[in-house]
This record gives sequence, structure tokens and C-alpha cells, in this order.
Amino acid sequence: MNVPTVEPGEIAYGEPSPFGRVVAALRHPLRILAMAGAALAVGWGLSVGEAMAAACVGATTGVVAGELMARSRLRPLVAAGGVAFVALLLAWLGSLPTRSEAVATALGPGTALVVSAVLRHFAIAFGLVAAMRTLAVRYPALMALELLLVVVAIAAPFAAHRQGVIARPLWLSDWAWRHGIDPADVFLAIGAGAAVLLALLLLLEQRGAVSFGALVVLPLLALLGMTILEVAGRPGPDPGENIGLTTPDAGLQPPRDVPGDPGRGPNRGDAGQGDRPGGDAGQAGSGADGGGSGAGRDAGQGGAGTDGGDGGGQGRGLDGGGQGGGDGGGGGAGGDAGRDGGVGRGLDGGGQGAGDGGAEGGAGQDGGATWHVPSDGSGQGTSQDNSQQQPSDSNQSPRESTSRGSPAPLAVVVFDNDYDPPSETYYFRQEAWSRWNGFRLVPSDVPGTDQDTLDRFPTERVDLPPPPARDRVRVSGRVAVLVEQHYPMALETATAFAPMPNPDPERFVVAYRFESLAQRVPYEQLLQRPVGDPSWPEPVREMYLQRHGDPRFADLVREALAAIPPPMREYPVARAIAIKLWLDRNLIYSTAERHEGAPDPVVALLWGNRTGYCVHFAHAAALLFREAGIPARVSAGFMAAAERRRGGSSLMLVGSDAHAWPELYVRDLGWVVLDVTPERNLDQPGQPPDEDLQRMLGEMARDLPPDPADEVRDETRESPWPALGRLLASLLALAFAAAMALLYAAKIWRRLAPLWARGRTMPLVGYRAALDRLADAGYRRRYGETREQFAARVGNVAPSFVELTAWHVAAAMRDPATPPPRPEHDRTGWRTLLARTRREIRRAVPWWRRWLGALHPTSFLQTR
Amino acid sequence: MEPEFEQSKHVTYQPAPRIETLQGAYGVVQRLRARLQAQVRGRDDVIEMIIIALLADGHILLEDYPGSGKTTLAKALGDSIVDDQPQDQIVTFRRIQFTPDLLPSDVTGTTVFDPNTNRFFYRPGPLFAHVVLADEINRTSPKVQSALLEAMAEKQVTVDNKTRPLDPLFFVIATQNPLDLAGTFPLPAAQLDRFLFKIRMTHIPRDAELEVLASIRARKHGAGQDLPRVTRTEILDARAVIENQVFVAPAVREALVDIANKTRQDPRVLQGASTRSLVLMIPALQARALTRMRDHVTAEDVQALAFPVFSHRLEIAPGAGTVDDVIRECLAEPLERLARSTMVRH
Repeated sequence: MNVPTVEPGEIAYGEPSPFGRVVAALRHPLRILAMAGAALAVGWGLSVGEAMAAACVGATTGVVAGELMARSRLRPLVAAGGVAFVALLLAWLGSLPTRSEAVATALGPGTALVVSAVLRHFAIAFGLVAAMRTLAVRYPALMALELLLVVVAIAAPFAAHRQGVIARPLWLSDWAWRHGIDPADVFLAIGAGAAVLLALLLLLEQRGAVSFGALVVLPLLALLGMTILEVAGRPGPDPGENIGLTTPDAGLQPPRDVPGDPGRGPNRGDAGQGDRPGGDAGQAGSGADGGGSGAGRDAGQGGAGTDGGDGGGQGRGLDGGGQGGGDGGGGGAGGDAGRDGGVGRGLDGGGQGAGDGGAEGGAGQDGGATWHVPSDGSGQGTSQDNSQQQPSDSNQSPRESTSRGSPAPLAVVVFDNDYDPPSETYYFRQEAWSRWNGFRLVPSDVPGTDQDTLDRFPTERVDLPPPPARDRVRVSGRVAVLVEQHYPMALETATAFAPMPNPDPERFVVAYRFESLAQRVPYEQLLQRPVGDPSWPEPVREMYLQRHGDPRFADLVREALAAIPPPMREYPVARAIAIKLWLDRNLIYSTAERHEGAPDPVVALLWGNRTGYCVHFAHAAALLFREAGIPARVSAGFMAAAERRRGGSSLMLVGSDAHAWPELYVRDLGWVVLDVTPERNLDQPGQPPDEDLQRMLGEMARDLPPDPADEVRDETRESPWPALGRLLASLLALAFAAAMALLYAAKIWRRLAPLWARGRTMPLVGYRAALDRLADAGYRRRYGETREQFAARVGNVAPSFVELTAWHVAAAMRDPATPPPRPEHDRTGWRTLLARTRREIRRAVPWWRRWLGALHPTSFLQTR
Repeated sequence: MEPEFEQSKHVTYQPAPRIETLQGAYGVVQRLRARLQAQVRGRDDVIEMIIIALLADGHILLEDYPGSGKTTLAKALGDSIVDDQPQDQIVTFRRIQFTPDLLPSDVTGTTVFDPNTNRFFYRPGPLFAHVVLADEINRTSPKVQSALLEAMAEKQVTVDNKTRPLDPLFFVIATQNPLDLAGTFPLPAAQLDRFLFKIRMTHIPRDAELEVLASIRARKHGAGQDLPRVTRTEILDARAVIENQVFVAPAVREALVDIANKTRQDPRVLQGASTRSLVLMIPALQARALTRMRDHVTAEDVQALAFPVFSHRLEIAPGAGTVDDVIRECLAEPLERLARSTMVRH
């Protein structure tokens, strides 16, 4: 006969309720959902819609196939291998339509591509998911791999989204904005949904209390990890690493397509390698010819504030701008000269700059160091200088190449608040030139004028006299400078500068904050406003209205005003706009025409070929404004179209953004930019700056505490977070250590208790000690297993345990009235049996297994 | 006493000493076990269950194939018992082959007219024995079945409105063939409930079968005949000793009730375990504890006896799996609770 006995292994759990079974079966659709979602998240944007759908279907099929394979009799590796084989076969089939001409022609090119993409996406999703599912069913620990994949896949699209600043992926945030929802809420909802899904999967997968415990422990571990990260700090990008500032030449080097420029190529190559001695040599001989260009680059490199080792990268970036123009080394040469001039002059101030510049090799070489505006020198010794008006590159067309050349970043601006300028262009003012010296406009020498710029980088908070606040909006932001500049720049019109810790000294030269009152009122509303300021003292008014002196200017103003109706001519701003429009119509933009050597570049521009670039236009416009009785000046700095911000908060300024523009003073508003934008442009349009780079630099610059007051007052103070994190981490560690100590104490106590236990408690204490010992060796009674069954199971390891169990059970199950002597209450008997059991376990179980068990702090919790 | 009734050949008239201790009761078990094992090979587990049922005053239903040794077993059991009251017309062993045309009186006995005395006298049926082998019990009509089952439950037969008691030792081993069901009258659940155990027998292992073949001759010539027997009184004494001296802890009783409740609540079970099954099970548990030389019932006894006790009492919904699976699942939780109860300080 066969009395059916309970196999110990078969008793696992109580009978699940029908509801429980339904819930448990839910895990399959849930997993399919998670996998399909992961496939979709990974595939999003990678391919056509059909392919993404195929990936979802592939993941779904993969789950089903994996389950089926796992339940087959195949060995797990064989099953996974079979799945991989099928996937590879499908992928190969998918590559057929695009590789085989016959198939491609039969299907038509569009269909062939789609079919190929569909098959390949299906194959990849199917293979990956099915293989993992097969392994996970067989080895439940591998389920972690699956979950990890889902987590990574879901997190990947949101990786660019951090601290609520950049709302990537854009399609989702755009959708949210359109529907009036904060994208952060959407992202949070997606994250929470994914977390709930995964938690449910985990719960359903492993029934029982263990999973619930894990669900509590997991967030705690995550918290611990986060605090540790907070304390240790995130790993910053390796400074020597190429982050895009120095992307391969193909990306950043300008096209070298200016013909008739011999002798520059070699130099450029030379400089490109950052060959310092060569560069020096070139500098020495820069008076001679284009050979100087190499030197220029080299000097530019130095100027960039990067060391020699880094020069390859940083310097190159700068070169890119520098040559920005150039096609080559020529631009570098310009950079060199410009920088030299700048350094030499320091503050080029009141016109000695020209002379100084002339003293410089670059200027001298040029022969006619005409337009040596301080901006060149102070301006940053970088590409943008030469691109503007570097006199030294007589034989070059920097601006042209600049506009065409790929932009190299010079600085990154992070706005604290949203601001859209009425001109749809941001003007970052670095300098203002107001005094006419008969040749050009230079910085004002009248005290108390043009105080809206700063001639040094702030070391403490500097408040500038604010412009009239009406019709202006307060804008603040941070600037991180990548390439050394001489003056800080700020959105017009700056009211304060404040220092800021450098977020990444390896990357940025300097960082600071600015506050500005930016123009808000549109130009149409300015038309009838008066200009000038009645409170100006006479010398100031005189300076801002100082005219060129050439009578032809007045004729030109009359010609310009003829275009507007006579009543409007009474209004100064309208007059200025009329002049601007005339200039827009009649001037031609070209960086190729530099008006070098001209005794008066403005005259050469207006009554010459009417061709030039921003500095020429700005001077012409300012002088014409003054001719029309409007206080005007020229400002230099950077200009960037508002759309470049792309809705983000960061704006990357590149070499080709360097600009000079005319401004006029409107009463109760202050200096207003009225830029000349010629209709005709001989230059080719440049490439737009790299958006990803802009985003990345913005993030790097943003890696700062946002509150300016904090930094200004106490730069050394750290944000409270790391301190709190340290506290939390140490508390957690303490709690952990205390828990461990408690567990080990309990374990040791249970083990030693039989030493002093009385006979009557021996059946409990002694048996418990034996159970703990067995648990350490890996033997635990299963659920529903009787004590005798368990004893029989471990009987081959510890035969004495069978008797021990019998005593223990007898102590509990015998009639309490049984008269003594009862062997199960015999203390010495217990001691003997325990000692025997211990010896038997020691003999049967390898030492490492026992030690591992002894170190396990919670093994005793699993005995029952 | 009627001369035509054959008496057991092994009659002894010296009364054996009364059994009053567990040690003595265990001696009974040992003697029975030794004799049965000598005669039947490879069926130690069934022998164990038969001894338990005999000591627990229950009856056994064997489900097996023809030629699996059940008659040998029953006969050996009858052979192991000495009738120390030969005057009571009750023999030690009877076999009834159930057929469709069998009548109740064929089993219980009937009144016969004696022309010599001009009076009716009662002629006892084969039920008046210590051990009765009811072969193929499902082949006879329900009328006969119920007559037998009344005798099993009440230990008495009623013929012509006169109730006659059977021997206190009355022990039935019924058999039925699980496969050949054509023309049978399957026992209803209420009647199955009267059997303490239903035991399914399978073919014995190869080694045991070889041993059976090797020992044919020895057994034919009375192997183990010289082993000591037990007397009827000894068995009855052992029953009393077991009842009084084997302790059933309250936790065990709780576990039994819990198990029964589990079977009643299980959606797959149409009819759960009856209270009678629990009542019958207590002596069985005690008897099993004795066979293990224990004076107390443990979880192990519950687990071992739950299957033979409950397997024929539970009615499982069609397609809901096997009864063994159901019992296994119903056992897990109460047994776990029982096991943990030993770690509680008393």
C-alpha cells in the first residue's frame, strides 16, 4: 500500500484564495505592460512608428515565449540560446531588404526600409525580453536584471531632465505646457506609475512577507545611496575630457574655403597641435606675414587661461572662434594680435589704445592700425576680436569666416527669469564708447558717465547706478565664462554684478551674477518720447552729442528723414528710426571689407562702397543720430537672437556673437539699443550653435546654489544639504550598526542559553540552540513540515537531532501530569545530546558553510 | 454449541496475564507485527495500519487488485489471535465473498426450523468472528452492504427483530477493486464513513516481490507459526490501555478541528470531514503513538493518519484535483501551528 505522505518540498504555501490566484495571474499582463513600455521608451524617436509598434509586439511576444520556454524541459541556457538564435535569424531577415538589391527593388525603397526596421526592432526586443524571461523564471534572482532593464529604459528619456529646469523630452513637456500642466507633474506621474508597476510586479512575483520587507528596505537603501552621493559629491566630468568644446575638427573647424590664402594652412596645422615653441617663433616673426597667424593661435591659447596640457582642447575651441573666422591659422593670427594688444594696453581707455595697439606687432604689421577699438584688446583676445575689427589681419576676412565658421563657445548665460526682449535679440553689454576722438568713439572720460558697465570682474557685489526703472523689467542671471575676457558682460542695462563660486574651475575661467533692468517697452511706443536727460551737466550732453563735423552727415540725415512724413520728423526717436531704416536699406554687410587704412572709416563706409560690418555700422549710426540731435553712443559686447534660448534658461555665447551696436538715450528710459541690420549681407549664414552643448554648459554653470545673497555674503558656506545628508547618513549607519549589534547579541544569547538553562526549560532553549545551529548550516524547517519530518530530513547530517526533537516534542505533548523522571527534562541528557549534535553538524557540514551561517545576522530569525 | 462450527485449532485454555501498562500493550503490537510480517512480505506499511485500526477499534477498507495478498493478510491476522473464550461460538476468522445475489441473512445469520425440536433456532452468520474479510464489498447489493455496515457500526446484528451482539473485537477488513467497476454498487459516502481507514495498495517493490517468490515454500509450511500469538483479551486490554494512557495534547485536538474546518471551507471540497471522523481518529492516533513507543500523540501521527482517515470521506468537486492534494494543502497550516506550539513555554 502506499499511504500518501506529505513530501516536505510540496508544502509551500497555504491554498491561495481565488482572488489571490487572480491577482497572482495579473503579473503576466503587468510584465507585458512593463516590457512593452520599456521597448517603447527605448525605441522612441529612434525609428518610425511601425518599428516602435513592432518593438512593443516583440517585447510582448518575448514575455510569452520566455514563459513557455522556461516551462519546457529545456535547460535554461539552451532555451535562452534558442531564443537568441531565433532573434538573430529575424534580425538577419530584417537586414535582407536593405542589403539585397532584389528584395529592395521588389518592395520599393520606402517599404523595404520600414520592413527592415520593423523586423529588426521586433527581433531585438523579442530576443532580449524572451532570453531574460527564460532565465528569470529558472533563476529568480535574475529577475533583478529584467527590472533593471525596465527602470533604465523608462529613465533614459528623462535623463536630460534635472531639477525641473530642462524639460526633456521636449515633445512631452510641450504637450504638457499646451494643456496647461506643469511638465514636472507629468514626469513625476510617469515615475510614480513606473515605480508602482515595478513594485506590483515584484510583489506578485514573490508572494510572502519577504517581498513586503524588501519594499520597505529598498527605498531606505535608495535614500542611503542618495545621501552618500550627496556627501561624496557627484563625479564631475573629467576636465581633460572632451565635452564638445573641443569636438573633432570636423565639427568645429571652419571650412577652409577662402582661396588665395596660401601659407596659412601649414600654420594652422602647426597651431592646431598646440605647438608652443613654434607658436612663439611665429609670434616673434609676426610682423612679417601670415606666419604670424600660428603665433596668434598660440597666444590665444594662453589667453584662454588653459594650461598647455589642456591646450589641445580648449585652445582649439578658442581657435575655432578665433579662426572663427579664419580659415585657418589666419584667424589665429588675429587672435594673437588682438590679445597682445589687449594685454599690453590693459584698459585701452582713452584713445591711447590706438597708439598702444600700434605699438603691437600685429598693429604695426597692419600698417594702418586704424580701427583699433579697445574692444579688440580688452575684448577677449579671442576670435571674436579679430573677427570684429582686428587690424592686424589685413589680409583676412575674419568676419566672413566667423559667420561661416562653427561657433566656439565663449561663455554661457543662465537666466534666472524669463525675459523676451522687444527687439527679439539679447544684447550683452561689455563696454560703452561715447567720446568722439575724431577717428572713432572711445570710452567716456567724463566722470559719472557710462557707468552701466564694469571694467573688472566683481570680487564683491557691485551696484551700478540704475537706469530709470519705468518700462524696464528686472532680469538676473549667471554667467560662466569659458574663455578669458577682460570685462564682464551683462544683459543691458546692468545694475549690479556679484561674484559667484566657479562651478567648475577646470572648465570655466570665472563666474559671476548680474542683475539688469532690461528694456520692456516696444519701439513703437518710444516714437514720441523725448531724448536726452535734462539733468545732464553740459559736458556730458556735449559729449553724447559731439558730431563728426563732416557737413555731408547733415545731408545724409535729411535724405533719411525724407522717407518719413514731416510731422514725424519732429520726434527724435522717429528720426533715429528713420536713420536706422535708411542705413538698413543702403548698407551692405560684409566682414570682408574692413576699411583698413582709411583715414576715416565712417566716411569711407558712408561715401565709399557702403560695405562694412557691425563696428562700422554702429559708428555710422551713432554719428548720424548725433547729427540729428539725438544723444547716442556705441556699445560693444555680445548679441544673440532670443530664439537661441530654445525655451530653456541657458544661452551659450559663441565667438561669432561678438557685436557692436548704436544706442540712443531716451528720457526716463535710458540707453536704448537701436541696431542697424542691413538688408543685404554678403556673408554666408553661419551655423547655429550646438544646442546640446548649450544645454550641457548651462547645466554645468547651473550647478550652483541659486541664491545670490548667500554667495555674496559667505562664499565658503556650503549649502545645507550635504550637512543634512551627512547627518542622515550617519544616523542611518548608526541605526544599521545598532540593529546588527542587536541581532548578533540575540544570536549569541540563543546559542549560549543552554549553558545555564534549567532542566525544565531545556526542551525549549536547547532545541532552539540546535535549530539555530542547523539554520547556520542551511537547514531550516519548511512551512507545514512537522518537527519529526524535519528531524528525519536532517537525520543524515545530525542523527542525534532526531532524538533531540523527540524530547522536545515529548516535553510539549506529553501529559503534563506525567510523574518524573522525565528524560526530556534532564539537563545533562540535553547537554550530551546537544554536544553530539554539534559534533555531527561539524563533521557533516563544510567549515565555510558553517562560518558563513555564523556570520549571517538574521539566520536565527528564520528558524521556527 | 454447534459441532458444525469449526473452531480455531489454536485454542489455549490458560488465561494470559492481563495487560495494564503501555509496555504490555506495545508487546501486543510487537507480537502481531512479527507474525504478520513473517507471513506477508513487502506490506509492512499496510500491516502497520491494520494493527493501528485493530487497536483503535476501527475497520479498514483496502482498495487493491486481485492477488495482492489481502486474503493472506487477513487470514494471518485471524491466525495471530487466540480465542480465549471458545465457548462463545465466535471464531477468529471468516471470509465473505460478496456477490450480487448475496442476501443479508447470508451475512448475519438466520433462524432455522429444527424439526426435531419443533422450534426455530438462530444460526449465526459469518459476521460472528473476530476478523472478517469482506471481499469485493462493492459487488453486492446495497441491502447486504447496509447489513454489514450496521454490524460494523453497532457491533450487533438484528435478525427477526432480535438483536444479537457481536464480539467486542469484531474487526472488518473490506476490499474493493478500484478498476473493475462494471456491475458494482459503489458504497455511498455515509457508509464509507464507517471505515476508519481506506488504504490504497499498490504493487509491492521488486525486492519484496522476489522475496515473496523465494519464501513461498517456507510460508506454505507455516512460517512464523511458532511465533507468539496474542489473545482476544489481550487486544481488548491493549485497547483500554491505549485509550487511558496515551495522552492527546489539547494542541493536537485543536489541529484536528482546524484540519476538519479547512476541508469544509475549501471550495474544491463538496463534503468536508465529519465530526465522526475526528472521533474515530483520536483512538487511531493513540494507537499509532503506541506503535511508535510513545505515550503521547504528536504532529507526526496526525500527518501520517490524515490521508487514510480523510481520503475516503472528502468528496471533491469534479476536476478540482486529487483528494491527496486537497488534504495536503489543508494540513499545512494546522500542522505548522501545531509545530510552533511546541516552542511555547508550558
